[in-house]
Amino acid sequence: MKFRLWVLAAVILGGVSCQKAFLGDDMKSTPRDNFQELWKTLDQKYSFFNYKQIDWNKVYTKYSCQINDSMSDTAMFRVFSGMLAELRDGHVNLTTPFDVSHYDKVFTCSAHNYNAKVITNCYLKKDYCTTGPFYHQFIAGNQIGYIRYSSFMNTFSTSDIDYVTTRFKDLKGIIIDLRDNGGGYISSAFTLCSRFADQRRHVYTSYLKNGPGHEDFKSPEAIYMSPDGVTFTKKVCILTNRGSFSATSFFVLAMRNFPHVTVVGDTTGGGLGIPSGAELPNGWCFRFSASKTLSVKGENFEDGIPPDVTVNLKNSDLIKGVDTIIEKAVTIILSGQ
Amino acid sequence: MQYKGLLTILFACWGFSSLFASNENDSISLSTRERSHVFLQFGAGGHFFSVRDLGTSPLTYSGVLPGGEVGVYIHRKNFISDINYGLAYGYLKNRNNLADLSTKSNTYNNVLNALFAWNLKPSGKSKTRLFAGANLNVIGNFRNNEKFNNASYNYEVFASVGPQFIIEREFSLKRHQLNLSIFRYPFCNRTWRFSVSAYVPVFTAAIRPSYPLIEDYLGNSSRINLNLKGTQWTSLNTYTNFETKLQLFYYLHNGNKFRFSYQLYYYDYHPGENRVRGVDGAFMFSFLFSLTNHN
Repeated sequence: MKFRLWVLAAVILGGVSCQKAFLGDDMKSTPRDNFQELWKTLDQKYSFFNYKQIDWNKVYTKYSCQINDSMSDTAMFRVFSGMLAELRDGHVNLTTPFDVSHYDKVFTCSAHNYNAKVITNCYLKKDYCTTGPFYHQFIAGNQIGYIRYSSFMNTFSTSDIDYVTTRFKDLKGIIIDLRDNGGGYISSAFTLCSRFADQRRHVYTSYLKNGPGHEDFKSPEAIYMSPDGVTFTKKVCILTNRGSFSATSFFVLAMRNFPHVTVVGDTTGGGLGIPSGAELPNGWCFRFSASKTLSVKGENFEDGIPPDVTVNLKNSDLIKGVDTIIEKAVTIILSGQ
Repeated sequence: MQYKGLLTILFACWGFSSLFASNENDSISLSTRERSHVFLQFGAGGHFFSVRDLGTSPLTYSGVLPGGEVGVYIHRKNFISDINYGLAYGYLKNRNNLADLSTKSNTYNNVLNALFAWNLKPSGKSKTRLFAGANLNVIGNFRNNEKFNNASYNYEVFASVGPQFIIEREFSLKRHQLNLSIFRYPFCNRTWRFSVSAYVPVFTAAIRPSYPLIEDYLGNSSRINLNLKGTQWTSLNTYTNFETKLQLFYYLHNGNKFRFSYQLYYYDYHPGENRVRGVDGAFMFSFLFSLTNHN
């Protein structure tokens, strides 16, 4: 009987240890294996090859010859980062224990169009309110409400935004300053958008990548936005610059469908491909755009949504403590354009 | 590699059946206890779970997920029904244990099982009984990889139906058969039942996002509706799955039972890209509370 009990124990332990037998070994993790995996995953899953007219095979030829199995992790990171930069996409990053690659040329090679000091000193002043992540203040002789929201990473509750819209409900208009807002949680963008929706409207269309071909996308998914909570449907101006990226671009893309909304400033940074994550055999992690988003009219604004009214900051105004873009928005609201 | 797994299961079945084969002539019969018993079952145990989800990573993540189950168990001489829901939750880690690079995958698994099986030879007097029937099985494996800062959530749900076969055998252990002193008193002169079951789904509805849940970012669309729209009907060609379960029942004098079970579950879903494979070895200790007869 003792023997049988041992057999029983052995069978159970055998069952536990057989997991490796079912799944086999993981992929090898040489620099070449990692390069292949990175290139192949992007080849099958990245969503903007055709839109950006990138010849990914050419990129392979350019970078594969720089890979050898004796190279260091740092050297490998440099080659991989170079290859990813070819995608010209702020949503493409490679994360390693020692560095993170990023592409921010869109932002760094354009006019900044935002000066935080002028905003703090001349518009928010000392007595501004802070409700959740929103800084807000009455401006233009208490006729307009100004909301500064610096990042969609900073989440808020519905009562936060309802407090702000209630506070400004009797004013002529609201300015929402999203300059340098690099994005974050898109769910926050939807919640914010619902407070300025006048009726249920189709705001954009999403296409999710679902196959290995560069143009393999699922059937389009029309996204609608409906009013919710305490809404404000008088004149609204949204301020943008090239630092307005990702979730901010989604917010702007949705908001521009409402007739009472005007986008003022510079083109956004784009980033309308929803990022997906993946991993290499060596454990490095990377993300990439895996969808495309088109406006209601079918335009692809991946590289940035142009404003309705283009305005750049003037240095001569900044010296006087004046934000040219805010002043233009004030004019638009007060003139009822 | 899959053949090694199959061989393991076959050896497991052989091992268990040979283990108790010599008890053919034991005098203790279950017939008086087993007319028609309905049990509420509550169990707790651990899942040794491994998964390789090519939708997110070529690496295998493994871990032990504590879990539990609740359900109803009906056992007659000629019929078995086992309807239970199990939930396990825990963390998986990359088994390569890559120093600074390893990450945790926050994981939970749900299983809803509805088994109905009938005795193929109801008039037989043998203590070994063979049951055949159908199993409706819904499995959902959900993982949230903490490393990915956007679409970190991936899952697969399979609702399948297929045949299930059960071999069970009653036996008892006599005092003289147990040499291990610590087991002697509680376990001897009691009725036990051992059962081995195997299940292979034939028709399956599979739900798996094409990419780690970026559907969440689509906005106010209902995630459930979106995913249901993506349901794929599959069969053995794209969804390979088998389940075996070894169960050992220990009868209490008051009609209740303890059950120790070990379930080995393997699945491989390959709808093209984003193949996912997993294997789960689950141990479960359950208490079966008799609702029908305590004598």
